[in-house]
Amino acid sequence: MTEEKTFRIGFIILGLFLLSLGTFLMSHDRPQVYGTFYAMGSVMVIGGVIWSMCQCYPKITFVPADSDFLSPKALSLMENRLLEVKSPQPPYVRLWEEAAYDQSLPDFTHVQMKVLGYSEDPRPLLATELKTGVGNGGEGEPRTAQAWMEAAVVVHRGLDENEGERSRAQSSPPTCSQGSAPLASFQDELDMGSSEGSSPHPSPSNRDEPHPQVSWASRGPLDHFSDFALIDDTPTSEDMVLEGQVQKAALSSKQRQSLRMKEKESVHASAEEPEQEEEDLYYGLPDSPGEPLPDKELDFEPDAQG
Amino acid sequence: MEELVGLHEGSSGKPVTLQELWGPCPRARRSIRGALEWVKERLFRVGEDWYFLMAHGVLMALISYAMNVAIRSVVRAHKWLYREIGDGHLLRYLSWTVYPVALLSFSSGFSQSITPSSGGSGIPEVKTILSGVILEDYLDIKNFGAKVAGLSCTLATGSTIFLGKLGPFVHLSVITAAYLGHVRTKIIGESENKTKKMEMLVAGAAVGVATVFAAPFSGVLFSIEVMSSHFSVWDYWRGFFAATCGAFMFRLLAVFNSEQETITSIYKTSFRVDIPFDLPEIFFFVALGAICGVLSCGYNFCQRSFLFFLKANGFTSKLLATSKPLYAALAALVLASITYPPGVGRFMASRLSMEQHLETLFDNNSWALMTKNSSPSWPAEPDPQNLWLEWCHPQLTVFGTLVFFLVMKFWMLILATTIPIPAGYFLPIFIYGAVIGRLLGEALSVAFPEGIMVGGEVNPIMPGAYALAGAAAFSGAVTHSISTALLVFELTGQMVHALPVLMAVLVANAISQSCQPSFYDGTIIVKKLPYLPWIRGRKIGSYPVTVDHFMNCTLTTLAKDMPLEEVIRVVISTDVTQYPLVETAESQTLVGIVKRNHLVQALQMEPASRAPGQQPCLQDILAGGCPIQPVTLQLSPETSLHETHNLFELLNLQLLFVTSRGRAVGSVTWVELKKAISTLTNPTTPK
Repeated sequence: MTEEKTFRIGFIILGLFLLSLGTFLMSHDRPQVYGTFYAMGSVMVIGGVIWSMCQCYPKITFVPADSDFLSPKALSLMENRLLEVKSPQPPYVRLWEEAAYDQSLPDFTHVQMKVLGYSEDPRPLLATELKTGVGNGGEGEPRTAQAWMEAAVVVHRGLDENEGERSRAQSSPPTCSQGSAPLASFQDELDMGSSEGSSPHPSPSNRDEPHPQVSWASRGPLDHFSDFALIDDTPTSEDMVLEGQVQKAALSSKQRQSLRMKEKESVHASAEEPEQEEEDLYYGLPDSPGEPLPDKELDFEPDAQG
Repeated sequence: MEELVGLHEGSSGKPVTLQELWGPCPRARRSIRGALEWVKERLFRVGEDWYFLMAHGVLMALISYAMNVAIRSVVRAHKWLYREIGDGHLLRYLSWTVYPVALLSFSSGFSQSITPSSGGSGIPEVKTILSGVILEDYLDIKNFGAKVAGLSCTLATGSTIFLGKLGPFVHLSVITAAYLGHVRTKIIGESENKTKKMEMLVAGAAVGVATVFAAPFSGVLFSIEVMSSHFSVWDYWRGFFAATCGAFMFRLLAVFNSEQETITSIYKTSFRVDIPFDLPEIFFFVALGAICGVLSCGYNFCQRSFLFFLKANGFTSKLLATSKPLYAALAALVLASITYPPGVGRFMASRLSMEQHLETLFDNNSWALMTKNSSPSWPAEPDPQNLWLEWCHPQLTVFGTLVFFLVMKFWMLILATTIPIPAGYFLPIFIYGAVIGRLLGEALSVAFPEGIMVGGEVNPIMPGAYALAGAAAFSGAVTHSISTALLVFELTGQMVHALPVLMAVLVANAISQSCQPSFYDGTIIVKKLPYLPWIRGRKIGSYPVTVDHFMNCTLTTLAKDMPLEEVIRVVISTDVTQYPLVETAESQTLVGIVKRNHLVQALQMEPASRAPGQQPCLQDILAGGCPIQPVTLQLSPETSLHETHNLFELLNLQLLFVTSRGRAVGSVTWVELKKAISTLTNPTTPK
């Protein structure tokens, strides 16, 4: 999703660039030149703006509560939240009308629905600690969400997830050079890069996994998740990683906690190191003069010393 | 990406994601989406790559032209200021020097604040990326803005700082190529494919070079020579197509802007076509190539030594570490003071811009012969019709000016290359080589005023042709490439001197490649970029070296029958990203690869309570949902270093496991390869 945002913004900026270039190329005996530039530029700007505006829809996240059914208080709470979102008609009513589900869908009345405002980057609800180590707020929420997820949910697995995993079979060694030589790091799409903040990073593989696996909502009388019929196009393969996420997460084991802590530390430590090294480098040269220089310099000279 | 999908009530067809169901105006969105799908299906019948390559070429041409337009206006403004400021020495000096100082410190500060690795030419990093190593964040889109702004400021200083456009523009082009690659993946809807991405990057590099000079042939060839270690013919078509689109658009924009009537070459020359040179002149062309080769060795060596000196010296290294704009400002001050026209700059033709330098140097008249008896006065402004008069000084004559230029620009250029700003280093050495050639040509034309073949037709020697050859030879020798010969012809549009220029370039390359690494390789050495030098054909005894000499033998394997506590201990105590999975701890038969994050996830998901007395082992975790990647390519301990190097480069690999009779015995990554090659090139002498 974040890369779509960069595409949208890039589209608008490209349109503005074409407009400015058309202004420079203004010459009176050739109006078709700047006319073309203006036309293309304005089309791109307007298209980009409309595309961005169409991204405004409410994100529904799922927060099950142990209290009773969908109380009127909860309903009004939802409606208040929804009315804050920019929309021409009462969106909640429209949603109920347009997005209909099968009648056989289970009853969701025992869960409470919470609607978030307009946000581009929905927080991964069921991600494990590793993935939410990015620093997104609300880490407590996923934990409670996990605690309340009672049954297995068959989720649609996108096509790209499988292919992406298979194609990355040979990738990325871990060597984060901890020594003195500031080699650029060899890591590619690791989650370590995710600790650099949730900037719109145009490499999709980094964001592939922590992507919105969430945002489903209750829709009327639904019993439990197991009958939530989702159509799965692709044959599910044996590596159902994400299915495992939805299962009961017992978070009480001390070992696992220590493992997680170590993970987070190593993630943050190793991600900060290449950043630190980058900052120390002037134009590629590290600060400390005690670098093994002659070793590298003689790399390219022919063996004509002897 | 897993998503929840649903159907509209009463509608049949493909289920759409819930987000799409709930967006505003779903019917309009659906119809637009349907229209876009129809368009996509029609257009992409010929293959979608071509559209993106064309878009890439056109986009880079637009960006390059826009930068030129902006820079031209700034330079014009500065010239106006310099002219209007009057005759007071102090004011004129200030207006001459404050301009580059301000621009360079802004360029340095701005680009460094956005991304620290944006200084310098981008070509060494692109070379490393194209060889398969992944440099984090180097192709990030935020580097784009930093480099464009920094590069424009650097170029706006013109010939005072004497830097060019090539390197950062190639980097910009590769960034755009990566971005368009993502757009393409998104539009096509397929998964991220590493080879496709690399194809786009290679084409991007070619487009970058081609658009800077509006020269598609030499652009593609130069990018192949300088930036690729392996180049597949598949990328050849793509590179040419994109480069041609870019070059065409670039020249077309000049026509649109009423600068030119039609698409012509950038630097027009008027050499004689029927007998461009006499046969004995070929000897002098070859001699020029040799001179350029020797000088280029000196240049590369001095430039690298100066970089090491800056790093080793306490004061400069501290200055560069703490405040790069200050260093840039100081260097700009030094350079601008020397090129101040009423001062020393008079002897270096410093009022000419970089393009005007080339224009005058490719002039087909012999300046020495023309100014032999007369001594023209120094005009207040450079005369647009006779720009070459800038090179003529009454006392020093043309030779003095040219020699002074060579001597001063040698160290000034080396100083300029150390400033941490985004700048290209090709055009300055191109001009430097043209001056060398021009000097030799002028000397020859004075020595042989009637031409060399006496007693026949008089064919006077054209120093402009020697300038062509010198430019091609020097720049080719510094960058270890031959396609600069073709570049010279595409720039001027004349091919008549093809053979002598090519011979000069070959001789220069022969000398410089046997003595020194190229300019960009030198930067790789200094910056310690993870690029492996080529090893074939060098007498370093690399042929008998096999994998078991350099592989990493410390391999933490996870066996399927390992108890869980041990698995957790291993995972906590090591931090590799992939673990080789072996069948049992005794047999060590490699069966797959487990990624660390999947393993950790699976370990966390595992329920705490188990039946007592039942020892859980790794096999259960794996069956419970941890994916195992198959091992598709393995090395044997007898694989030679050459084969391994080739594999890593051709397939863009990062890690390979070594197995002997099925047993996992080690691993090889770029680190081990680099260590192996460096121990070969400098063997440690036993005491």
